[in-house]
Amino acid sequence: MKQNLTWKEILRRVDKPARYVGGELNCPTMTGEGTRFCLCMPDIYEVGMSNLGVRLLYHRLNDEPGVECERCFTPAMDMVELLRQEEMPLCSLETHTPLKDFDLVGFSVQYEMLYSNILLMLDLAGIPFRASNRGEDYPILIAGGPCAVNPEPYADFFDIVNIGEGEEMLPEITALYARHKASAEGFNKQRFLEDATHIEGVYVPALNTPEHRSVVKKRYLADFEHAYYPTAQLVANLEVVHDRAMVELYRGCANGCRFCQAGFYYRPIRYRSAERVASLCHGLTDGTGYDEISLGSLSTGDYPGLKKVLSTLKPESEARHYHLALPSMRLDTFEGEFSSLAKTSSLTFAPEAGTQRLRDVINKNISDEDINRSLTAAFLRGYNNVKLYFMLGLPTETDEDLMGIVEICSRIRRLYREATGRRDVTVSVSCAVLVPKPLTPFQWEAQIHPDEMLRRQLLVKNALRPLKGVTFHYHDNTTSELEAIFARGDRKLSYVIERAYELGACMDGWTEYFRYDLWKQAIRDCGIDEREYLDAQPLDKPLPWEFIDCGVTRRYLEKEREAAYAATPTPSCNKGCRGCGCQTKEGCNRYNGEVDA
Amino acid sequence: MITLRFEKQLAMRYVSHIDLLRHIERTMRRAGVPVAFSQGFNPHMQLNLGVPLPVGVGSVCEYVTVDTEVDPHYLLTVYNRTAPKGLRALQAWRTLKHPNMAGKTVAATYTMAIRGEDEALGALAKLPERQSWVIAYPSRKNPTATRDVAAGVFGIQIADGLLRATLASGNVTVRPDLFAEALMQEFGVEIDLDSILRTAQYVRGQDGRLLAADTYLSNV
Repeated sequence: MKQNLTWKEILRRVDKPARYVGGELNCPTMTGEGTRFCLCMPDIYEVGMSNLGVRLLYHRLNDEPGVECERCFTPAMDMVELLRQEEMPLCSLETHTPLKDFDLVGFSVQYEMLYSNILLMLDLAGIPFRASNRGEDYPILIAGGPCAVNPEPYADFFDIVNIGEGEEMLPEITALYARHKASAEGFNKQRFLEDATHIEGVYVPALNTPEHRSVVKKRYLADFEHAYYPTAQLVANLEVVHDRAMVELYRGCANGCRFCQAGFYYRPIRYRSAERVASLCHGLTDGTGYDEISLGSLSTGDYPGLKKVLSTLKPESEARHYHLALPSMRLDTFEGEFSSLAKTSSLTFAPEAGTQRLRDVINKNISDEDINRSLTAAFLRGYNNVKLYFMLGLPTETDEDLMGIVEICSRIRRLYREATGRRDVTVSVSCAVLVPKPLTPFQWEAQIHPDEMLRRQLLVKNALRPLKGVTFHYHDNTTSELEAIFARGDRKLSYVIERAYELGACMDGWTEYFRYDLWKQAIRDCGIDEREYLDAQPLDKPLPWEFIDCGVTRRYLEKEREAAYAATPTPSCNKGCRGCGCQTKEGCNRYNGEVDA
Repeated sequence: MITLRFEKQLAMRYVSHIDLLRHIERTMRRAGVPVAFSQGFNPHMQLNLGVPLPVGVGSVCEYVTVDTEVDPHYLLTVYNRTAPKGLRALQAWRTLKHPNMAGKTVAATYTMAIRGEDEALGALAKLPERQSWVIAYPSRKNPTATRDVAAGVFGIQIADGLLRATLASGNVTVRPDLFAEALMQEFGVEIDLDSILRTAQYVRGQDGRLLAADTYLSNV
């Protein structure tokens, strides 16, 4: 029942009120003037504030003259209930302005399980879900982020979807908006959207329908070395998931693992020099004071200037007491010396598959010898904790491949004993479930049925049980099934998202809130046959996302698919261009900094 | 060893005690202040905060002791250059030994905007004389808990619509927000909970009386 609580009273009643008040370090002062943009992430504060894209775009827009960008995240459920009870609209953090009073509202869509939270936020904000039901009075709704690879399941909710990297696209959109707003004839949504389609990377779902398609070209930053990068970044007011500064070493990835969407979507590969990375780390320490800087990329060990960065920063990181984290190290690139320069307590590697044959299928170019050599080196340096990531449900996978995972674990125990004479090694095995993703050579593959997946998971689990010190974690395969449906979905699925939300689905990324039954019912209620999305897709059928030109050609993906079936690996782009379609005129592989000897 | 007195206002009011420590550590790192680190596998900056403030309550008298050799005025200046809005430092003392604010503090004064009938305000001002005063004292574990806080109400003054209450704060604590809610409940007065501000903290002096923390710090 409504109690007419004030906002301050609500803040007193919720858990962690710091999530809702803004005012963080490096948060710009807002005037409420100019073009007002609200950057949203359909996840709670602690997750949203951890996202590098959100941090980057937030500062990018605020540094744009005449633009003010605020933020909004999905409130936690206690706040959701209070807002509903008090009939209070969802507001921005900085100036507590209702979302519907902004000129533009942008959502960063990171993964499929967040789709229901988009509707939750729109519902709390009092904004109609479908773009076709929103008149001139509502803000322009924009989506962007990794899920733009296939925006079709949620396309009907948005006026604009940004395909590709947003750092240049968003300021161009706000500038166009300001021009239209200031024009003599006044702002007209239709005219604005028509004009927006001329911006590279902009997809306007209402004007570009499955019936009348035009190609949308993915946008990417050509000059990554000099690309905008804020060093005085927001520092969250409570501990967030990734509570550290981040520097991207490069975008894209040369490895071409066949299951990896990011590896294809973020092509071409673009490097930042070691000198620039080091100077950004210096600036971030001055600007944020974090005790950790993560040197991020899709495969950090492949960065040509890694040693240079680490040795340049060593004196400073010691003097100022921060450490450098190296995520996404490949097993074959791990060298003991990195671990002595960057503090890591455990080794994390992702062989992804248990046998050499299956690793050749997925193009994860790691050999058993690589594993042996790297781990022996690490064990001699004192490491006794290994984390391994695998994927289950890969194309052509057999029980023999699954037993290969077990074999790797026993071998690690043996190597450790041989290297140290002790037995106190712990191995933590995590098995994810493959979701065949658009824009990968596996985009036509079938998603393994949940019952069969459970059999494979239990097979590995039981076989690992006798191994002392080995723990096993596996992924809930009902979530994977929904991810698979939405990853390859089309526009029909927007009705499923709407229906699931109506039935009560939200916060699906959180196991405690995820309700598989509601989604199943929503699919049934909408008369959808889920097999259409889960089964193998025929090669001759046009796929819902193929109107997007991401650079990588269909021909290349088909060739890679055949190579997968033949268990033929494709070498890294670093060893010569494979002609995927993304190659730039200058060559996409150039690194201009100092290269490690 | 330097102890800083700092405010905790604006959005920083909502920052929890543990996150506050992170903020100060990051401010020291941004400012480039050389602070001693602990030894061990996970070295941490040698910072010691005073008694925690309930989330949502403001303050102009929080204390943090920093293990550093720099000049106190220098620290004050460089700290304020990069401190988040709402965590400004107001004063700095160099102390010969560790002042142990968290352990020594016994009381704090809070101000809050109050409105009510003269009769109610008069009755309320006599609270420190009571032998027993049981109020609702909910916690997350026990939302219906009560507590006798009479021994923790040291003094109450009311002037110009402002209530000034000195309450136990330290090993024994009376939370100012729960205190204010109890006043509203029992005396029918109106208090703006959002206006609660910690304005002074005290240690126990050698004579057994309350000694202002600022005075204490000048003599450690």
